[in-house]
Amino acid sequence: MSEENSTRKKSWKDNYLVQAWLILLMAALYSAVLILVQLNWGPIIKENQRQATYSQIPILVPNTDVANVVEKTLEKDGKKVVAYQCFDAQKNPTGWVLPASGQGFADVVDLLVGLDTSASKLTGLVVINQKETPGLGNLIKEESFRKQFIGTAADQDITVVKGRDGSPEKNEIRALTGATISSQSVCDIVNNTLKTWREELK
Amino acid sequence: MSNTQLDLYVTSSPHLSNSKLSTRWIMLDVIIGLVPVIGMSFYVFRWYAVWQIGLCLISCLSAEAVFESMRGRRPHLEDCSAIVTALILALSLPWSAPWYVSVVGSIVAIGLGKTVFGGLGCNIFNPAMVGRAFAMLGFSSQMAAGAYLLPADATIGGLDKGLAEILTQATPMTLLKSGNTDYFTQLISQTALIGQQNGSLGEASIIALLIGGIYLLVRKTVTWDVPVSALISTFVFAALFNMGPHAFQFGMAHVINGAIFLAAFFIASDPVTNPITTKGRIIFGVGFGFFTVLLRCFSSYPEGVMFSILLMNALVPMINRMTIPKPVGFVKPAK
Amino acid sequence: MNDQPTALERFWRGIIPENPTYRQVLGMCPTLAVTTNVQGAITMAAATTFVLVCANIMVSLLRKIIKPHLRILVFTLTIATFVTIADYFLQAFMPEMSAQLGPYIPLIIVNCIIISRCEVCASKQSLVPAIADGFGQGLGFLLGLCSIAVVRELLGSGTLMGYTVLSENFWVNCGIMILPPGAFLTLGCLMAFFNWIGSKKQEN
Repeated sequence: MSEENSTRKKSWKDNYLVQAWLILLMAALYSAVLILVQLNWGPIIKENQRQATYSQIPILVPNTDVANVVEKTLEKDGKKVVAYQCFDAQKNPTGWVLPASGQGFADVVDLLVGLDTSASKLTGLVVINQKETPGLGNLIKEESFRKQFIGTAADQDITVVKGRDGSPEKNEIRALTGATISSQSVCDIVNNTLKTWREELK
Repeated sequence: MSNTQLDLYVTSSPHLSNSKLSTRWIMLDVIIGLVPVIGMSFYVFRWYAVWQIGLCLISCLSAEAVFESMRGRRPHLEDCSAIVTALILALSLPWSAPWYVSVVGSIVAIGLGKTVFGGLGCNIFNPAMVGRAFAMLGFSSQMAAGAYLLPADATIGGLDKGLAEILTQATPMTLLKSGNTDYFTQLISQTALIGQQNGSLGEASIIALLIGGIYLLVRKTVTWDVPVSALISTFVFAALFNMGPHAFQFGMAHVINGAIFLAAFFIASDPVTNPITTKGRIIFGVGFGFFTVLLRCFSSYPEGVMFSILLMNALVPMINRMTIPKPVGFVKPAK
Repeated sequence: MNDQPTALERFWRGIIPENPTYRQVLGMCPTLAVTTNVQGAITMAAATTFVLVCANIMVSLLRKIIKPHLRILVFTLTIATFVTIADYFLQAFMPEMSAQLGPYIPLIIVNCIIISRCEVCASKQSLVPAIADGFGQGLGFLLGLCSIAVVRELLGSGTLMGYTVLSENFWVNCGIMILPPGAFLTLGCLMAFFNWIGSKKQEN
């Protein structure tokens, strides 16, 4: 059999493309289907992603009318970030929302930081994505932890204090019990983001 | 060992004639060795210790009876192995652990730590440590460093002053973790030796642990190799990881505080989960010390003994393969 | 091909005798990863069933003209297309669920349940048994995922389908159950349980 094969004269039927006619046809068909899907559902997906950020903005910067939020692309040292400039219903500026992300204890943590108009004080913090340890680290998304950031100064580093060592002072955040690293990560992410982008918010 | 109905039976070597070398006697020896430690934990932690140990004993023995019956066997509670598991589990828990931590820990220790592998002698991991690991990950906030502390706002109604004083101290392991060298005098002082410090129930006193450990060594229930290599390697690695003017103190502090002594004499030296040869057991002890100090110094947990023992248990088959003894007169075949 | 099982047999086999999770032990990656709550498990099983049925239909229709040495290529192409559709659907209409399941929806492409059903059933049998097989295996997968998810969600979060069942007043959540070790432990215990039932049945 194998001898027969090897001695057989090469015909056009042995060509790879001819052999694969079905696959090529199916690939074309499937691509067409997927293009249709993308055209129909793509805009909905985009809108969903936008919505995920926008729904948080009133929590981050009080008195903001979501309809009047302006997206601004900031650039510095080759890095880019989309910041959201917020206005109230009368188009008076209310503040800024800045996305921030960095390494947490388990995985990347994505945050949104709310700042006042002069970018000198934090007005809020929400956690969008996190995979920290359930029961310990994932408490960073709880309000009791997040609200500590409200009112802290943006021009100096926020530091973490552990458990019982006195009450936190200005710009100090009380670490979550048993999740010092997660708490520290959130502070580091906020500090780094502010260091990089605060000057650019105008 | 249970007696079969046959009068004559053939077993593989070694043929032991000493009837006192039964599982039951070994386990009883371990229990006797633990008596000073238990006594010390009663003295330091009072009713908390009594409650914790009693709860673990009841739940471990019932779990053993239930699981063994599920396997269609008559439960051998009289071999005392479940009692040893219960005692070690209880001694490794914080004094404040709520009842469900001890109960769930006991059930997991006997069920998942021992029975699923085929019962006594077949388990890969130390059952008590499996139970504690489950409790630690399952109820992390009840087992974390904060659990060892009496809440500052708690009413110390029924407690006497001495106990309250101990329970409001941070545990030595938490102090060590903070890296602050101010505490050294406290860490290497008499309190650690005699037992006036906070921690898990069995960590209260080094002297009590040492008495029990020496008893086991004298009785030859435990061979010297694992405890000695574990203690030395903990000291050496703790000093190495903290190189500097305080290296020696760091080494001492790591050995004296926490569960190292308890682990070296009573947990890591469990013959079921140890390598077979002396060489293998020394490797086991050194690895145990290394991982403990590694976890203590560089992980987010203040104590690393439990994970270190489980890790080394998992490595035992590999150590055994590496340390197969050479037969007498063995000549390496020429290549 | 008269010795092939009928449509009804195919359907039934997928649910219990050849259950993908407990009997074939296929598709372990989503089984371990997305069973932290029941809703996620149901969505995952639904997406897998959709891909399974569609891929079975396509392969069964084309089974006579697929060249044997190129069949895996055809299978993968088909599966990938339907997985992309399922992924887009979730992103568009169930964005929260999509975010929760994360990469595990796109990973259905490499789920061995689907390719094994294409190979074992759809490439050998006609349309009706192939569809029945797809639904049967899908239901079996749903059963497998849900049984694990119910245990993990109940013990780990005290909820079922997001509703609080065990109040925090008397229940302490066992965090390990929603961590990866909890998945392995639950799967192991349930598999032992089902094997035990199976062996009891055989004895009788």
